[in-house]
Amino acid sequence: MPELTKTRDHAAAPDAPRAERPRRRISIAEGAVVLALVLLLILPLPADNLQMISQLNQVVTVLASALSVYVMMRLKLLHFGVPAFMAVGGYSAALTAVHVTDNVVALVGVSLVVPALAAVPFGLITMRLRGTYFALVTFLIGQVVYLAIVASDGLGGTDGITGIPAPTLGGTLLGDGVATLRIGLAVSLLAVVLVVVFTMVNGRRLDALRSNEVLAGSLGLRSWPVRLAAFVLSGALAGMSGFLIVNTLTTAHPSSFSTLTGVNYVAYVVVGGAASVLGPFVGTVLLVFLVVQFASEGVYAGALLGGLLIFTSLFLQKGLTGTVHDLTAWVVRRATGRSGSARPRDDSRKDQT
Amino acid sequence: MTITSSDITTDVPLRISGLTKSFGGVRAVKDVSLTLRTGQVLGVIGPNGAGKTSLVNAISGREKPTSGSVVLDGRDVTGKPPYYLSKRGLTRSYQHANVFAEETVAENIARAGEFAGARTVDVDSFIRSTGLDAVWETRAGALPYGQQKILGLVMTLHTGPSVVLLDEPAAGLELSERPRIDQLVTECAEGGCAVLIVEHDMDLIRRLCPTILVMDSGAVLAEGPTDEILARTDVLEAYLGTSETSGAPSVHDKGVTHD
Repeated sequence: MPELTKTRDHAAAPDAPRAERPRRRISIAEGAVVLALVLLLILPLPADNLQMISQLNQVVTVLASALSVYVMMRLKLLHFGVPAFMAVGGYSAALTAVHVTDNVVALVGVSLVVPALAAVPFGLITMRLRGTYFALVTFLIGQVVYLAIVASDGLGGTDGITGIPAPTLGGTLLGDGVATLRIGLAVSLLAVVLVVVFTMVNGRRLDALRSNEVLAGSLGLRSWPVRLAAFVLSGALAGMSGFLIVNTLTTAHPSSFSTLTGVNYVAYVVVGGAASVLGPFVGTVLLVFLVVQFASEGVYAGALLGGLLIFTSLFLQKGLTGTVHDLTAWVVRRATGRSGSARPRDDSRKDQT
Repeated sequence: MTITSSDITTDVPLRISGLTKSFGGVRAVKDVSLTLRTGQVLGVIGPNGAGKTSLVNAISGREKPTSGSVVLDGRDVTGKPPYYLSKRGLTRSYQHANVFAEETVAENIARAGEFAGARTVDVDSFIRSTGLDAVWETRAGALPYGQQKILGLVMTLHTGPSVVLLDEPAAGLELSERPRIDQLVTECAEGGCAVLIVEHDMDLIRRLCPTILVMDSGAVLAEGPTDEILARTDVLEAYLGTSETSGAPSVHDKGVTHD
């Protein structure tokens, strides 16, 4: 008769199932995003194609914000307070550049660390909140931070902080469009790597809390450290995005961090999908591109984007990447005649791209 | 509360004293006391609404008790959250199938092992004997209900508990699947677990539980050897709502099942 015995090495028969931990590894989707950013970073950029440089810069400027939303959506939480942490990061970097140093590494570090620290108390406040309450409170956090900035003379009030010097690296001025884009690419790459590492380490915990928090707790999972870590990372990502906005505009202005802009970052993830970092990446690229294309249509731009959101919410609830993944899996199953109930063993959810 | 020397007896991993749980003006659990010894299998029965699941919830940290104490291995853990208790060896299963529905059986088992951490025990033999190895790569939510409940039990045992609370483990299972519950509970108890089973299936209770505790309206109505308790008229009345007359069948005879 089998016994409950302590074990570490699972020395079972070779063909026996093993209650072991599948290895965590980077998924194809995550690798594709990292590769795309690395290639853009190291390959020559067409400096004379200002429109392409501008559009790419718009994408990388807000990609980290979309990732900020994505990290919390892995916990089934809609984070509408992203602009608040973007503001904290952006203004911190602006003050550092004006008063301390314009070294780009220092500025990125400040824009990462300060919002992360600021996220700790807010994270502790929101740890017990779920669903609508979390969304509402994070929205209000955004409003509070926005009003605090507007009311602060030290931060320039409604005028913001202007005349921010261009960043430097080893004495080299990084002020032109291509250099700004490369900074954006580097910061986006850092953001993606942080998210990939975080989800590789915590992916099972995040997924368990999202799908069945009660069961996860019964099995011994302590939820609040995971939630707090996700919230702090989300704040850091938003802060880096805030720095990129400030760096692009050479101004830290309250209007860049309006609470309502948080809806855009949520939209990037909803449209792209929340199964892996490929979702926010695709959503950001697509919606930024569409916004640029529709910009000349004036008021119709909002209607077109709103329509896309409604369509996605109604018919593509896993986002574009999730829907493409499901369709591909369905085609493969049809072609191979395999049962739909069987799934790959290793972290298959992350591959829903 | 004061921890007495009897509380830290290693043979008594769980001691409940005067546990009460109220929801507003309703007292779902009233002053319940019990002890679980290592290897003991204690059945908890009672009619629907008797407070059995509320008792399990209060012990396991799902609900904070209004008063009373829960002492686990000599440590007062009253009102501690489920993860805390699980890390210290007290875990539970649920009345309904409770699994990570979107994940494979393998991933479900792996999560239980990871979250339990150092307490994890080998459940490969359970996986084979319950047939879960045949559906190892199947999405848990696609399994028949009975297999989902079995999976939930195996996950619970994978956390290496010293005390297991099973809330109606046989509910919803086919008759042919119920012997698997017997196997899991028996092997768990033989391995040193103290097991508390809330159940309506009297046949299962009689097979597995030498002693039972009967609850009615949140309070303990009777406690003692199973055969003796099931023959009591007040227990029969509590279950069936009728007075037993001479020659009438007992709960024991009827094999009462409220599934």
